[in-house]
Amino acid sequence: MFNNYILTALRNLHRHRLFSAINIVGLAIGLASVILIILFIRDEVGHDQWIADSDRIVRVHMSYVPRDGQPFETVRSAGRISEAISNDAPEYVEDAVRLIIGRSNLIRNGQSFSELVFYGDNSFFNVFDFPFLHGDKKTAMADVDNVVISEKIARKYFGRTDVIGETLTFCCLDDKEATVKISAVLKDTPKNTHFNVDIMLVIEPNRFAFAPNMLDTWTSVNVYTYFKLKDASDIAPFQAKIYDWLNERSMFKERMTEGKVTDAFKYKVMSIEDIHLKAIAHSGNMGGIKALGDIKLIYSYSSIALLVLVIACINFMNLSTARSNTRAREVALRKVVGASRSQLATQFISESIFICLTSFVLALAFVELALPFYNDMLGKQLGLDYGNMGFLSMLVGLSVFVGLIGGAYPAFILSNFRPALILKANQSSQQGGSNRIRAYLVVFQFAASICLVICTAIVYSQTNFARNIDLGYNVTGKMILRNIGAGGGNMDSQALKNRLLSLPAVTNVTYSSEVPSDDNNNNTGFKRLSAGGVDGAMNEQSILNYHSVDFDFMETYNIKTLKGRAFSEEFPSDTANPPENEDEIGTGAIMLNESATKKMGFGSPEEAIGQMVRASIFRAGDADMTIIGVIPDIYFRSIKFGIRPSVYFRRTDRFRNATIKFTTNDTAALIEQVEQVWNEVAPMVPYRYEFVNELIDAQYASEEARFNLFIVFSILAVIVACLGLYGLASFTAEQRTKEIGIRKVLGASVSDIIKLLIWQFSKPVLFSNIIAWPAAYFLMKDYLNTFQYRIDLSLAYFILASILALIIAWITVTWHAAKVARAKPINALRYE
Amino acid sequence: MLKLNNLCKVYQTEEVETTALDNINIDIEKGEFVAIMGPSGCGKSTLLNIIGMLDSPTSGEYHFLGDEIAHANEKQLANIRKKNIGFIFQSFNLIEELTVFENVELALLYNDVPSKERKERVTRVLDKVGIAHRAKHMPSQLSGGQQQRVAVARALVAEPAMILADEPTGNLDRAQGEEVMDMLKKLNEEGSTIIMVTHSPSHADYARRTINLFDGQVVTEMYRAAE
Ligand SMILES: Nc1ncnc2c1ncn2[C@@H]1O[C@H](COP(=O)(O)OP(=O)(O)OP(=O)(O)O)[C@@H](O)[C@H]1O
Ligand SMILES: [Mg+2]
Repeated sequence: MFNNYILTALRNLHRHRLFSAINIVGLAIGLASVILIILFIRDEVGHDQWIADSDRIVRVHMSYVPRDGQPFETVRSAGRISEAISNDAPEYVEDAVRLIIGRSNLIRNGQSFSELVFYGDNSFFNVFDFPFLHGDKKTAMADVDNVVISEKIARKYFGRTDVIGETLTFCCLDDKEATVKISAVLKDTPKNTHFNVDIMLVIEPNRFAFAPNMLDTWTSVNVYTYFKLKDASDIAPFQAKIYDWLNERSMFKERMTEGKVTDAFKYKVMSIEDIHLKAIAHSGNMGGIKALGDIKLIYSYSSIALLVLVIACINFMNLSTARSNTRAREVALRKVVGASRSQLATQFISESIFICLTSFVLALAFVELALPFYNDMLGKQLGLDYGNMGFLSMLVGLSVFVGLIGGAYPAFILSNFRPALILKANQSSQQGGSNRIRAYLVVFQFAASICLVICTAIVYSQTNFARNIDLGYNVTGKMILRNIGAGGGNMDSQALKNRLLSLPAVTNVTYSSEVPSDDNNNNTGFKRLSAGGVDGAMNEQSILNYHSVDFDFMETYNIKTLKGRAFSEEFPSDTANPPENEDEIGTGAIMLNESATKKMGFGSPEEAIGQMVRASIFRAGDADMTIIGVIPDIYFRSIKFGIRPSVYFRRTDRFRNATIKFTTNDTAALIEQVEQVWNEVAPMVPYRYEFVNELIDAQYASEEARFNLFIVFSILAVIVACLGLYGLASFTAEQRTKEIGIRKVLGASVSDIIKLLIWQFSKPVLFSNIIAWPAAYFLMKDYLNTFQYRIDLSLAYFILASILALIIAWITVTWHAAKVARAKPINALRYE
Repeated sequence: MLKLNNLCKVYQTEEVETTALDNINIDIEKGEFVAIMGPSGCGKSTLLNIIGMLDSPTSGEYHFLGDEIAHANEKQLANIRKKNIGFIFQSFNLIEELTVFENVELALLYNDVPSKERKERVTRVLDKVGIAHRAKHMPSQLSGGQQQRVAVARALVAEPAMILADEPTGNLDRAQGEEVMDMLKKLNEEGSTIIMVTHSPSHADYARRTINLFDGQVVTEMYRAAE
């Protein structure tokens, strides 16, 4: 019996080649889209789940909401929080670890390499039970001079992995060259995690002597704090306990002048399994250790993929029911000879499952073809793992499910035909109902397609708009030298600057702690020293982001001063100086951006000039600094991060980058000339250069990739919808041949007939706007609201998308209509 | 009215060449009632279709109202057709999705008759064929005879000079057939030229002239004396 079904199915596929091709290819595109998205989602959702006990490891995220001001949120925390919470909640905490991440230069055979370095408390491997290749977690971080490295690093520097006992030299840890001993080698960790440790050093307070607010602080948030709880169910009570501690037993309580601590200041707990996709909500504008995922992206990709699949399924249903009329006679005859309704239904459903499985095989081929491009776009290494039977059978299951859904309705329609009705001469087998349902489904397909086109156009415009917004500074003709100050005391920055300035192409050289596009986690409290003097109240200080910049930084980047003046060599007091003794206070001058003046409560930039501010920016203690100038809000990082209220001062020991402003087009020669100078001034430090405009572009690369993907899926949706329309149009033209013939006999011209058919298919497309417009409007309103600066939601996008859909539909239909309309009328009527 | 000279129609299919019409010479005057008879497959429908400009001859001449149209294109033919010719088919050929009224109205629609006049004319012609009370019905709700009356109404409504009928009574019972024949006769008396294909000698008797075809050739032409 089953053989019989398959044989009939094959015969039918062959007889209706056009429909079969549209069905199979359309479904394959739909299934391939879904498979690609599933691969992406599996990877995104699976982040960090491979870590042992991932369900009971959490990280705390700080959030500070001043009573009247912008909230300050970060996934980092203050150095003393880990110990304090562990002591307060021993019933929940099994262990805790702090993590600090930075760059350092690894020196090997007279060469030096910049590497990302992790510092962790020696409890790190108790919390993160990573598998070791050599060594074990007990001894790995036992000694301050230990270093744990990954398999990858071992291979890179030693060419082998059994390197326990070997040494690595860094320059510099705490401004000194330091040699550490390899105590263990980790297996390389999978990429789907929120951090990959390659070099792990032990947090040793002396190593952070240069950064006083790194460890011994309640307020500066520079470390990542993880807790391993005793049980996964402890997360909620642990969170409650932290709030309780903040409000009742923490030192924050004394600092609050009124209200509860948690009204303004919180530590929120998040499971590490959620970090990749959900930490973005807690990260303020500072991001995470690696680029974070976004649950919204998952939602939007999934919905698009699902739409493509649904559109393909609709084609499937439409073409099958449309075709069913041509098979109605066959069905009627089968019934007459005794086939039962369920037998017929089984036959049609098997047929559609057969089509789906064929599509599935084709879809796998599409996926394999698309994967290299897809991975490139996403920066991932996704692949179809044919060994994973569970996953594979899930995909097969999906196809069969689609076949059932797609086949059930046609099967129902077909098996329900009443033979008497059909066999009666001159009776139309067409059932009005199934015709109408087909029209609704086409409306839905086009609504989805139009909605996608509108969204794509708006997302594109917004992305474009964001890319062309005035950042507030000039990005062209600027080269960055990294690794400034990396040589400890050995690098003579003044000499470097002078030598660079003597190059003919170079017009300015300036130093700074960060350059545009760099993330920075320098945030600390700044207090206004107004008439009321200083008091310790928490909510009177503003947490601001700060940068160290050299005298001519503003000039080099063409940042104009709104009020006051920029730093200048003429004023020795413009340089920040630490206090010389315990009970003294340091001095200096600061510039603010406009947001910072607002955050500090100044009515206008003028009001801020000349005011004093106190902040703890030195290890030695506080410094009181004069506000000398205000600059506009510049977009130091991607505009998606918005503007951070920022403070600028000149602290020469924090300079890490040089910006070279140049006037040549021959950048290759410039790179060489600068390298020569560098090698003379700082031979032991790696030469690492970048260009500001490239850094800025790179910030948008991942967004552009995501956007491109969005476009690809939208186009697929439209193609599949058009495939369906094409099939349906050709079917309808065929079905209406007789009617068209009659109309022609009565005098209808070719253009009358084309108009007739085009109108038939324009109606659903026009109707679909009624659904598409509001849907796109609400989706895009939401989307645009996430941007501080955004384009208007203009009607033009809606109208253009609809016209586009109409034109595509017309092109699809006209070809067929013209063919049918031009035929001699007798051809249509002959065999009546 | 029309004149066919050495008209041939050859159907070219993959294996065989069928000569459906072989050297036909026919003259039909305005106001004639002509019946075409002959065995199945002799080319009656082919001839009627060519006369009706639904199909083009392979060779020969076709003069319609003085113009040579054997090689006119589809657009020109459509134009002549809608002004001058009405069709009635054996299988009625009504559009299932349209009501009786709309089916009849269609012929006027393509002749650009204004809406008000259309309404009047359709009502009048439906009345004439005695189906006015069914104007709002769908074709599938009518009997075969009623459907053919609608088809007749549709052929009449544009007031064509010539009506072509291909076995108009073929799908009807005896009484229904007589009714349709009476209608055609009346139309002829009112001045319409009528050319009708039929297998029934008694129905052919309604016509003034009978043309007998055999294997694509005219074998006999027979005039009946006026009654
Ligand atoms: N499209 C076509 N292709 C090939 N041959 C055709 C075509 N149409 C008609 N014929 C052939 O031309 C010949 C005449 O056909 P036609 O339909 O005119 O016959 P008829 O006299 O109307 O027959 P009937 O009384 O059965 O309706 C037949 O042999 C037929 O097979
Ligand atoms: Mg015939």
